Amino acid sequence: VDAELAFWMMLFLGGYAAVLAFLLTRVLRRR
Amino acid sequence: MQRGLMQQSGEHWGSRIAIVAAAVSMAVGTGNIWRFPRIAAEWGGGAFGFAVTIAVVIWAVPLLMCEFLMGARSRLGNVGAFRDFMGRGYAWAGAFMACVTLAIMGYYSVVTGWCLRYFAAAVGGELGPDIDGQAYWEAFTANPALTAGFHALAVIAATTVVYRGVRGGLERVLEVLLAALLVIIVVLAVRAATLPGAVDGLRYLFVPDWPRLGDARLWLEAFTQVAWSTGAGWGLLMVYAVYARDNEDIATNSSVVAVADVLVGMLAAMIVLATLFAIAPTPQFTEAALASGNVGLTFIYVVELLAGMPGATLVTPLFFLALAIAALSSLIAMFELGTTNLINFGLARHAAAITVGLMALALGLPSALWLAFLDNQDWVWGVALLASGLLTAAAILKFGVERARAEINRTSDLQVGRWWSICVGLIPLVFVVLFGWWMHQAVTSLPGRWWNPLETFSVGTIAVQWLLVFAVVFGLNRFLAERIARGPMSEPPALASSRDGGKGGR
Repeated sequence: VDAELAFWMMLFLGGYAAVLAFLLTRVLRRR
Repeated sequence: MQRGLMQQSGEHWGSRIAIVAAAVSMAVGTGNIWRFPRIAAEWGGGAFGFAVTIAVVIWAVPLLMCEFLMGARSRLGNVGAFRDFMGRGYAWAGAFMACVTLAIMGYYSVVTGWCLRYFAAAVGGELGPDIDGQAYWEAFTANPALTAGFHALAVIAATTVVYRGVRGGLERVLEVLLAALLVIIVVLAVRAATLPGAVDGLRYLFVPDWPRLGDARLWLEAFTQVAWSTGAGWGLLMVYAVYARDNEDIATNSSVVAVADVLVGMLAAMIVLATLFAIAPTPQFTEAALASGNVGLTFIYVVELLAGMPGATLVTPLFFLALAIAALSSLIAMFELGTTNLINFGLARHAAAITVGLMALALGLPSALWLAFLDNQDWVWGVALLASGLLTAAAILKFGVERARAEINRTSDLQVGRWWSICVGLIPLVFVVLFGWWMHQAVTSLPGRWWNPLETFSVGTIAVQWLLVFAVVFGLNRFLAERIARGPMSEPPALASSRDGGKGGR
C-alpha cells in the first residue's frame, strides 16, 4: 500500500466528496 | 425588493433537486474530462489541486452566487438581469455576456457532435484494438458530411429539450443525464484505478509537487481552469436561476455546482491518467499524449489507449457516452440561455427555441467544416468568458456588494460571510492578471504577428471580434433596455423614462 498516495487521495477526493455530501444533505433537508 | 413574482412565462423548476441537478450538469462539460486531467498532470498534480481549490473559493463560488442572485431576483435572462441590477444604461453588459456564450454554443455543438460520433463509432466496434487514432481522427474531420451531420444532430437534440420547456424538457432530461454521467464516471474511475500499473498515474495526479506552487503559471492555469470549467461567468446559472422557486437557497446551491464540478474533474483525471500510465506502451507515448492538447488527447491517444485496455468493448463506449452526455447537458444550458433571453423579448418558448436552434446550426457550420475556425472561436470567446465574469462582478459591485450579500443570506441556509464581499471585490484584479497573462502569451507566441486579426490565436483577432460585438450591443443598449420584459425589480416605465431625461437608455 502506498501510504503517501492514499493520504493525498483521501485529502482531495475525500475532502471534496465530504464537502459535497455536507452541501447535499442541506439540499435534501429543504427540498 | 419585491418577491413572489415568477418569471414571465410562469415556468419554474419542480424541485430544489431539479435546479441543482441542472446546474451541475451545466457546469460539468468536456472541460472536466479533456482539459482538467491534462492540465493537472502538467502542473504538479496535488499542487494544482490545491491551487484549484483556492480558485474555486475566490472566483467560482462568489461568481456563481452572483449569477444565481441576479437571475433569481430579476426573473429575467442576462440582458434584463444586468439592466435591473446595474441600471438601464447597462443592458449591453448582459447582451455582451449572452453573445459570448452563444458564440461558444456555435462551436460547442460541433464538439458535442464529435463526442456523439465517437460514441456511435465505439458502439459500432469501429474503435477496435488495431485503431490508428490519428488516421481515424483525420478521416473523420476531413468528411464534412459527418462533422456537419453530427453537429446538426447535437443541435436537434438540444433544441428538442429546450423546446419542451423547463419541467417537461430540461428537468426530465438533465436529471437522467447527470445521474448516468456520474455513474459512468465513477465506474470508469474505479476500473482505471485498479489497472496494474495505475498507481504511477495516480501518484502523478494526487501527490503534490510542492515547489510548483511557487510558479505563477500554475496559479494562472488553475484560475483559468476554474473560470472555464465551473460555468462561473458564463451566464448559464443566471438563466437557470430565472426559473428557481421563490426563496431558493442561493449560497448552498451555487456551492454544490463548484464543488461537484471539481470532483468530477478529479475523477476524470483518475480515468485518463491511471489508464495512460497503466496502458501506454512507452513513456514517450505518455509524454506525447499529455502534450497533444484537448482534442488530440481525447480523440487520438485515449482512443488508442482504451482500445488496448481489458474490457475495451464496454469501456470505450462508456467513456465516449460520458463525454457526449457532459457535452450535451452543457450545450442544452447554452440553448436555454438564448431561449430565455428571446422569451424576454416577447417570443413564445417554442419560437425562441427554434430560433436558437437555427442560429446554432448556422453559427456552428463554419466550425464543423474548418477546424481552424473552431480553434479561433474557442480562443476568442474562451478568453471573453473572463470578461463576462468581470461584468458579473461589476454588476454586483454597482448594485452594492453588501446589499447583495444580505439578499443572498435572506434566503440561504448557509450564511455567507464578509469573505464573499472581499472575493467579489478581488475579481476585477484576478481578471486583469489572467487576461494580461493570456495576452502576454499570445504576443510572445506570435512575434511580429500578434496584432494580425487573421491569425487564429492572435491578440488582433480577439480585439476585432470583441469590439464588433461590443459596438453592436452598446449601440443597441437603449433598444435592449426598453424592449426587454419587466421583472419584479424593474423600474416602472414612467420613472425609468424620467431618469433618462425622457430619452430612454444610452
